[in-house]
Amino acid sequence: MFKIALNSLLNRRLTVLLSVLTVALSVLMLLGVERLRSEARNSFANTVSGTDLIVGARTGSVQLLLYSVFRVGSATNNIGWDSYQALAKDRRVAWTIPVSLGDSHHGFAVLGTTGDYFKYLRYSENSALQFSKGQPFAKTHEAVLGAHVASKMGYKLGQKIVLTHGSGEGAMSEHSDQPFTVVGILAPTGTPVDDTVHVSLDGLTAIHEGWESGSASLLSSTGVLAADENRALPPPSSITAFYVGLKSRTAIFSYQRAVNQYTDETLMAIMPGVALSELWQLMRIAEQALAVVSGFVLVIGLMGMLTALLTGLNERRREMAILRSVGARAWQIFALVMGETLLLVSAGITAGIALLYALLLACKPILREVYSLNIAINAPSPLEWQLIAATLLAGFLIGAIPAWRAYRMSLSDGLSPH
Amino acid sequence: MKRLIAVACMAIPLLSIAKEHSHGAHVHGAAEIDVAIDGKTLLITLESPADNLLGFERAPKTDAEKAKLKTVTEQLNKAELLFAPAATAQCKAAAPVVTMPSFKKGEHSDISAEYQFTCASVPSSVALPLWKNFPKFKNLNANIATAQGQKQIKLKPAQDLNLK
Repeated sequence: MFKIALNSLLNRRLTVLLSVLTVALSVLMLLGVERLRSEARNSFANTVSGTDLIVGARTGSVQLLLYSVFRVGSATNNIGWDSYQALAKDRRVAWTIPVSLGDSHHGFAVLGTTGDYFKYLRYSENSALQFSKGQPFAKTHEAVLGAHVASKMGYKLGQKIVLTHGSGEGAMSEHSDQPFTVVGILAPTGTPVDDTVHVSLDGLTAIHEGWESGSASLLSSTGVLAADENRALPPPSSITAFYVGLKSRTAIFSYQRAVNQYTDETLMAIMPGVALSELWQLMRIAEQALAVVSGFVLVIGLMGMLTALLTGLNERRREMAILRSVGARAWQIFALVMGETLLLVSAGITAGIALLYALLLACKPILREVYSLNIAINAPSPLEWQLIAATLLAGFLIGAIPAWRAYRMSLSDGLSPH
Repeated sequence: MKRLIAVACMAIPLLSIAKEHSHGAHVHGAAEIDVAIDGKTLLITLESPADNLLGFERAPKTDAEKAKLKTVTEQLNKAELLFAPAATAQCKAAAPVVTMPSFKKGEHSDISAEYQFTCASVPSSVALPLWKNFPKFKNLNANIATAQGQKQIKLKPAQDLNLK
């Protein structure tokens, strides 16, 4: 019986193959959307682990998160250095990391900070930053590169790089009078750190001296202000934001209130994880729309298969009748068609999953490069297994239709055509 | 991902309005709870418009209102009437710190209360008897910080606070 069923399938291999392919593509779509969604979330969540609060000028919490951590958008206002000093001294605070953004290097963000960045910043599940080469910056004109900056630009330790004023790539406003020396390259993290050039706050102050008008003054372009490493620099007048680690997690909310009620400057403190939750709430409609569309694609795929099966069934009246005549019972006919459908759906699902992983492998570098999205290639998540099970169940229900028809027909049909 | 973010950016003006609500804004029926767990300490703070608890937001005038203020203050000082951490965690409540409003003229009044528990183990959830005891609460915004990270969840009446 099994052999007969197999031969019957082989006999109809083109339709069968097409049915399997439709199911495979719709499963690919369904799982792919889900995978991208969860990986994007992970990628974001990994970036903000270990930071209790981020303090910046008062704005939307998601906006503050996006510009201070993901270098997207820009700050509406900066924080005065005095306010930072006062808030960082609070007894609840364990560490702070000041960040100053605004300049760039060949499209990569330049971030001014202190040595504490390398000591306290955490990513993924509480991992500290590692140096693949070199060490943190110690002098004014030294820079530490993220892994991706170094690999994309082909930079090595000791190389001189020139920062660009602002975020454009215009050569007109380069800080070419004060090049920076690469002293360290970080190991890859899968976060925006990889796409960042890190310099000291002093370095940023130094290159912007004499730039008050927005472009290089005569003094700065003649190089008078350039590279005297031992010159004492004033602290920066302002920073973009700062990350806060507290001694105890239970102090988060009271410290947050203290920042929000800070009287000298209008500031806000956000919990990065909470701001991310808010971002996902915003994105939920788009995500649901995508999920609905991929659900429909699956339904269409299964319908296509049903059509093929039902059409095939008419042509197989003879086959069924012969099977009956050699002693197959009606329920065996039912099981035969049912089994066939399930086999097709299972083959479709398997092919879909295989396609998904092949695509993930192929697209991983592209997603990394173009969208800074880091995709981990993991086994299917419980939710994905549920989707797979739901597909199988849908296949089972759809298979029941032709199976039932075959069952009915095999009872009434004779060998001779009507 | 940049495009994803760009979409999010367009929605930011909307969100920044929404965010104003959680700090200093005042929506009757809604309240904010902040939940933090560090080691064996569970800290929950409640920030709510006075209306949710009292039913009025000015200095009490009638005897009934005065009595209501007294009862509510007493209720708020009993942690178990609002928050009940899972029994398996064996949490003990410290004396709550309740700040009742001063009822200044022309201002909305807010009540804040802080509840601290010392637990034998990290509670997996906290039941919320406050839904039953203060039926004027219609939704709660919970900001949560645990060793697993931070998140925000929105709660509807009769829901428990899941900390996993």
